[in-house]
Amino acid sequence: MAAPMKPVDVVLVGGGMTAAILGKALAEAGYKVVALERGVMRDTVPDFQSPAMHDELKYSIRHALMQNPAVQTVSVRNFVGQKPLPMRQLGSFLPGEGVGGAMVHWNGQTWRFQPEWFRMRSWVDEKYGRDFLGPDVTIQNWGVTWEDLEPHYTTFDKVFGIGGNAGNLRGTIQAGGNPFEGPRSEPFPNPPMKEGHSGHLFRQGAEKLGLKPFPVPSGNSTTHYRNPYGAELKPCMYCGHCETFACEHFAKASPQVAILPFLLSNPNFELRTRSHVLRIEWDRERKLATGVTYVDARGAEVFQPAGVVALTAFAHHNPILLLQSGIGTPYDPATRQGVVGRNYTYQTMSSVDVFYAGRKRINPFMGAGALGTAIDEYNNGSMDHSGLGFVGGAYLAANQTNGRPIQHHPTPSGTPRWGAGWKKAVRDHYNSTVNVSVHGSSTPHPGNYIGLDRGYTDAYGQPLGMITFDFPHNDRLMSNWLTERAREIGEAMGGDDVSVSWLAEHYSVGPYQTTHNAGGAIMGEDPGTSVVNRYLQSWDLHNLFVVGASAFPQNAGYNPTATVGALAFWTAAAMVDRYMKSPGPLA
Amino acid sequence: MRPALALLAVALVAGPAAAQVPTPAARPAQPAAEPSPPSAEERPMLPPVAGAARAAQPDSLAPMTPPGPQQADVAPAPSQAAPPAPPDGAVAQPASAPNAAPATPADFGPDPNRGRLVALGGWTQSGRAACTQCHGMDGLGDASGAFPRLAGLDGWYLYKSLRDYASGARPNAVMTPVARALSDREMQDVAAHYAGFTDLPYAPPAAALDTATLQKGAAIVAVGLPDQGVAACSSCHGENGAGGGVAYPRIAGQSAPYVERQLRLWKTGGRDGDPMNVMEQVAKAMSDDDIAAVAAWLATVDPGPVPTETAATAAPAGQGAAGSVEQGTDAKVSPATAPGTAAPPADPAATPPWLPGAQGGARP
Repeated sequence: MAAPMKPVDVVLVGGGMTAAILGKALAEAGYKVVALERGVMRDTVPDFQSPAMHDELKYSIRHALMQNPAVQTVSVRNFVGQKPLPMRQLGSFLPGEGVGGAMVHWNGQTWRFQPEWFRMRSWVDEKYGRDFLGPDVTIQNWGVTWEDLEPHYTTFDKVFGIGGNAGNLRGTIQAGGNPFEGPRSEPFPNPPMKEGHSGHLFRQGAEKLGLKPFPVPSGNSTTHYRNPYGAELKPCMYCGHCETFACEHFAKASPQVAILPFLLSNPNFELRTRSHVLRIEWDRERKLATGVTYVDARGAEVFQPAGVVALTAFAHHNPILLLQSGIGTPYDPATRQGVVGRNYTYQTMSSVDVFYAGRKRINPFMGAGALGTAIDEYNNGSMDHSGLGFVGGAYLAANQTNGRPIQHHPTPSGTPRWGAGWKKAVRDHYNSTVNVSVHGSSTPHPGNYIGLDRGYTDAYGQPLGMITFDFPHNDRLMSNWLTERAREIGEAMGGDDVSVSWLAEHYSVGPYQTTHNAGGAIMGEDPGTSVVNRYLQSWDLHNLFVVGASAFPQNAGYNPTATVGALAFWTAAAMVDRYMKSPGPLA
Repeated sequence: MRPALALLAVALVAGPAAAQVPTPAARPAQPAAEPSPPSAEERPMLPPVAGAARAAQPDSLAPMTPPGPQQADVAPAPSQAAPPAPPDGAVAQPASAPNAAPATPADFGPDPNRGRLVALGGWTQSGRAACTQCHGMDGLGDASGAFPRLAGLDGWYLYKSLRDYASGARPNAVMTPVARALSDREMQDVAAHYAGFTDLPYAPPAAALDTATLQKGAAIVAVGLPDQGVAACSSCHGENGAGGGVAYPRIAGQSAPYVERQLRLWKTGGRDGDPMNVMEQVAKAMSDDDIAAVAAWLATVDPGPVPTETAATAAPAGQGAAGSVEQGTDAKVSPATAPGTAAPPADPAATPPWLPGAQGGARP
């Protein structure tokens, strides 16, 4: 029997970026908030300090900042009918664990989705006709528009000190930025990063082809930056230890740097760590959530009653918790009915390596997570898909994030996989290779969804979440076409050798791709095809909010973090301005 | 050195440096012809230069008039007799083309024996300044700060410094004309010469020191000044400033006035060439007291011999150049083939240990 805690106004499940955003808004509006994080407390000092932090073995290979699959993981399969197997090692995606969540170890690449992506279904019908796509490309409208979210994207940029060149400022295209972005109301709060040599070479190749390169918008602060809350960010030192590491220097945007000091000092807010939430408790009669049950640090089950429950866990954990709690109708791929778990999407990645065989000195170790140069001519809203048979797209970028000894050893195709020949190739090509990444969109498919595994359980005895996913046909066409465009740029960059890494034949959890899981608790205008409404409020229980990339009906050809953050600010505003004052369905 | 940092340092030292220097096939008996006119992208990427130092634009190395025979306005001519005759069969290096495309690994084959001659002030007949005049034959410099220690610094870093002096990224009344008088090949060679002195001793600083200043400096080097945005020097420059590989030179044991002046130059925009402007960012965030403290403390550090994996694994080379300092001449110099011998060094001990040939691999 779970011992109850004192009731609070809002309980947040998870202690990462979205919890920090919601927590701060609600606590400052006077509400009592508890955030339950299953990991430990972590902060820049002492946990993220150098030189101990620059330990690639501990952090990149052994995943010290991430979820432990031995405690809880997901099972994965490509198709219905296959036996799903537990993912026993992190590979394809790297969910964080601990205060700050995945934003502690992200790279900092900060993109906005293009305006049409939020009304994708209508846009495709209008532009290409209802017959352009087959029935298996189950894109949907989000229920929010670019105009709704743009102010919250801008808030995100300011809170986290994002640096770059605006490409579209209030409708006027600016040189030096992304000409294909949606109109910004304000310029970036920080200037762009210094261009690395990889970006410089990519820029030259891209400009030869008439493309318009620009610096990747960056969450690695480029100046001494003071955010609107009073947080001080420091300029990035290009130390080359961003992704999978925490920043010792107060430069990389994270909850610790930008929000938590002002949140943890607020007596309305309590952060409870080592608190693993098992399920949402809810009243079937009144159709309201009553709180959550969690396992505390001593292993005891505890019930936390709350007026409002907000799921602020990492993307796929949200729908998995809904399924484990029995909330909403689970999606069934056989009948294509139900909503919880539907429209699971990921990211469609490929790349091209350009080898200069020693003729360039890239110095990749002078890197930063968001140091890169990109072109966006081939993203969904930038191009004409007529005759191509797919929707979606990607940005192409030469990123210079690191030159770390264990994982950075690009070699041309044909290099032996081991031995003296491999070692020589690593030595020859370490410092003169540029990677051009294709960051492709992920459209939904009726066969790709999140469910519960009927066989395997986690350390708490609960069924594992089950991910059924493979790259849909639409995305394979998109990826092949985009990768050819990347190869063209690679050839124009003047290297000796251009190696192409095409999209894999089947999705595999082995190789790292991105931690951009999305969908499963999608937002929309119709409760028949979505789990939450446009305010990320559950259609089933009006005092339940589900915040995260779980809300995306389809994942764009951009990194999702800024959009997750913008939705969190949007939802926080709806809760503070409307819901908490007058609880009820908001849409 | 902590294992993780040692691994990083070794990877940085062994990796990029080694990647830049392929196993030399046939080392030419005389210097090869200068490479064809530079393409802008060949040279290391330099960010825009601040303030008075904004000479050349970063996207091109505008050809500069070679100093030619007017050596009079350069640093004092060597007081020794006429510069040594070039080796038999040598092709006279043009004093011009200091801004040729930087060494690409295909022709980066530095010869510390030629470098010794460059350091002495002559590889050609042009009678230019001798590095030894100020920096000493072995690169110990002097503690006044006017002539920094070169011994044991990374070879590529020394080469890059000369290129920065020549390009205007790092303007200096003495070094700029000196560097502009050197060809690219000479820059590589003299860098290799000084980099070879990997285990010369570090002398304690002469001045009486104030412990409070030393403690402050030590703390900044170890943990930085987070509230000011100053990263720990050791994050990049290695534990106690012992060096973090080609891009992050050894600062430990460097003369305090020299370090202080460099930090102030970055702070005021008088020095460029730091990748990504990180040193400019760091220095701007430091007060003058912080700078003085760091410089004072670093001068007291004896970082020991340059740690190289290759020193341990160098096969018949024994200890390489570093360990074979002999008394063949007045100055301490590694045993080299006598001037006049143009052939590649027969003595493997004369090859700097950080060249891949010294690892027991293919020999020239």
